[in-house]
Amino acid sequence: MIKISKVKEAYSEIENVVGEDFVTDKDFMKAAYSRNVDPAFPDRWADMIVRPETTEEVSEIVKVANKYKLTMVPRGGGADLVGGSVTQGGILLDLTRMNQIIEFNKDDYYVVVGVGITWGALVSHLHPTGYTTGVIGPGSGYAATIGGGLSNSTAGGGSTKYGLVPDICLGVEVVLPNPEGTILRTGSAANKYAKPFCRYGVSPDFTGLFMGDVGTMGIKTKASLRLFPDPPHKAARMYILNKEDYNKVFQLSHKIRFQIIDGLRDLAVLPTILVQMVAGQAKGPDGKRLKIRGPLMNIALEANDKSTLDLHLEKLAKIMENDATLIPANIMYPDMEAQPLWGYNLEATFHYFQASISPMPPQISMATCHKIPISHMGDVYKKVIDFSVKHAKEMQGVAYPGMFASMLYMLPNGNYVVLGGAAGENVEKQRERNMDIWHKKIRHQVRYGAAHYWLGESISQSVTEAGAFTPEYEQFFRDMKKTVDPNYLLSPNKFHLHTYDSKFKDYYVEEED
Amino acid sequence: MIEFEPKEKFKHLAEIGPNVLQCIACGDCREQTDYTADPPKWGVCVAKDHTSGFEPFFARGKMQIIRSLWQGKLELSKEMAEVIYQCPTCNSCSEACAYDMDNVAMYEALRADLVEAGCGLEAHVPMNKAMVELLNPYERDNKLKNNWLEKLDFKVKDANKEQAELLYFVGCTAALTPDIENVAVNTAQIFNKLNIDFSVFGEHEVCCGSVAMRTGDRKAFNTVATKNYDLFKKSGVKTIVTSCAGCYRTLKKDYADHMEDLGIEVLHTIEFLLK
Repeated sequence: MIKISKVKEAYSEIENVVGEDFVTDKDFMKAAYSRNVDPAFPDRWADMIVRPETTEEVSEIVKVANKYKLTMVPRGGGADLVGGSVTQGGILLDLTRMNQIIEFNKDDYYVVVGVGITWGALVSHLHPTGYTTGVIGPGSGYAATIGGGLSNSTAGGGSTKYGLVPDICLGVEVVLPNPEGTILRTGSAANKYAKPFCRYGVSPDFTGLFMGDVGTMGIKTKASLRLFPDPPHKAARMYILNKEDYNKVFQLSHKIRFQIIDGLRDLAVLPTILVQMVAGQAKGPDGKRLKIRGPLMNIALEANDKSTLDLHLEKLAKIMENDATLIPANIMYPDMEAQPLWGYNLEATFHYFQASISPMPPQISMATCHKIPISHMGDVYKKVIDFSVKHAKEMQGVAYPGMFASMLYMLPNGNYVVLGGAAGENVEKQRERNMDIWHKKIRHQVRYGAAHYWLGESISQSVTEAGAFTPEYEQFFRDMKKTVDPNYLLSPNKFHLHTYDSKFKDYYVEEED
Repeated sequence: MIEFEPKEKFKHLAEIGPNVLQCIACGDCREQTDYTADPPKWGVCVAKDHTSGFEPFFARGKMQIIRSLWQGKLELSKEMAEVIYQCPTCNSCSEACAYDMDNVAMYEALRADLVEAGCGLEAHVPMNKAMVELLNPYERDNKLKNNWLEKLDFKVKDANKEQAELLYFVGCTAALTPDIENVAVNTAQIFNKLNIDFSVFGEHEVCCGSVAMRTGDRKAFNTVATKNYDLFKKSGVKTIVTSCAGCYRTLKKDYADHMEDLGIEVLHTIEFLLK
């Protein structure tokens, strides 16, 4: 327990760093930062919330935190679905003030930004210039920040082609959570004479240490991101498969990836039940009621010229002709054209996702988004259903426990993100039960070989509870953590990595099925 | 031990119903989009550039405050009010939301509960007092509402004495602000050019009460709303047209029950002309 007087002294010193307007310990401010997007965590109030503007300010805050042994949690857009950007006690670092485009280098195809810039702000800046970061933000929407995308190694629009957010990262500026508040630059910028134009070639890839770390290894303050020319010709097509067969989804995905190659921008799959809910009464191209017997594949293509795009569309039609039916896109999205030539308008994708987080308020999804190899699709589908049947009794009152996914999204090197979760009542009396079910489901996924989408607090802890790490890996992890954070002050709840001497085996949960 | 009863403590929030707990805290509202811009512009909420940027300045933070109040975890305070009143209540956050949230209705209910708890802003008191006593919030003599009429070269019917097809509700701002009284003058000239039979209340026009509603002074709002109800009823008018965005919103939405009772249709000038 931290003494109140220590918190007050720390507050006063931090106030001297950032100014009185950018630190607060008022109750209504703490309440405003008390939740993420989930129904399981209790409200958590930080001791104080700070909004630093510069890397140097972050460094000074870190020094104060070490002096008084206060924990710290960094926060970007705060749309975390897995409890990662809220803290009980300690310092919550709201990084959204670090929102500048520092260098937009068209010549060398990179952009340097403050990590608190939102995807909405960056993408809308780049959109008219003809440049793109390729992957244009996570499912958390355009209020999500670049820093959050890097820390959670998220995917989003464009990720089928361009990969995860860390895949476009060329290096970061980061403050280590040690008593010195050390400031580092990774990637080519680790060479003090070099610009942040590439990731490798100066030292080991220490950028990777801070990718997908859910804010446990350092506080990123700036990031250099790759730029690509944005192909001007784009089109989207929706196909409904003729039957409920996820092995077929794998086979078709594989063919599309192999034959259309870099013309494939996005490939998303909506489960049959979800399509039936949305478009069950719609009429198909023949004027009769649409037959929805399988999942929907939503495929976005892009090319530098129209003739290439047409070739991509022809190939796609050929691949799909025996197994799926082309449907007008406006059956699923009424605002869209039937067969859109889809100038990517930055609107539809993420509004779809947000609306599916709480289809029946006050229920909110307990996100279990995870990655699996595409060839495992059929097998995983069966495992998800089996798990739901086996645990049906304890999941009473939880919505959609047996739904395979709310969406499947293909990534570049042959794996799919299975987006989804179970929805729990967002009320106080259900929180503990929600958390138990949530962890159990994630442990099950870990044990069938999944790698998760984001980790936050709930998923990172469940990975540990499932016994995913070998003793050697655990020791390496602890040693790395100690090197950057000797007092274990940064995001200590994640992974159950509370102290150097604690052991993951103390949190291990026996296999339940 | 007395059990906490949010409906008794926050009676204006209680009127909103279960929606006060519906926000999932995703934060889409922080990045509301102006799709009228080319290219679309993200992040149009004025809180972004004109405040210190903590969560309560944005919709998501306000929703979490409302939820925390409702669940008995937080108390109303003057410091909270200072933040809650920074929002211009444009409701673009509601447009961004994937769910059925009328954010501004909740902010206004919260403001009303703040005022009734004695936590309202002192600066609003003289404005709302003037609105009730002088019939306009600008602390001006209401007779000045006749001034713009003198700029016309035709006579406009007095709604207090003469029947007309429609009532032009000018609003305090256009009637009392010389720099923008041309809104009233031009509107009247258009009606005249189109041979529309219309009237105005002139110096007897009572403020619609928008500022009281927006600032949470429900007592002041109800006072002027009742006065207007009586005036409208007496005049027998069945169509009210206004060029003022604030009056339009207030008459159309906040007076909805009164208007339904009196069988009055409220139109903005643009809607009326399109019709």
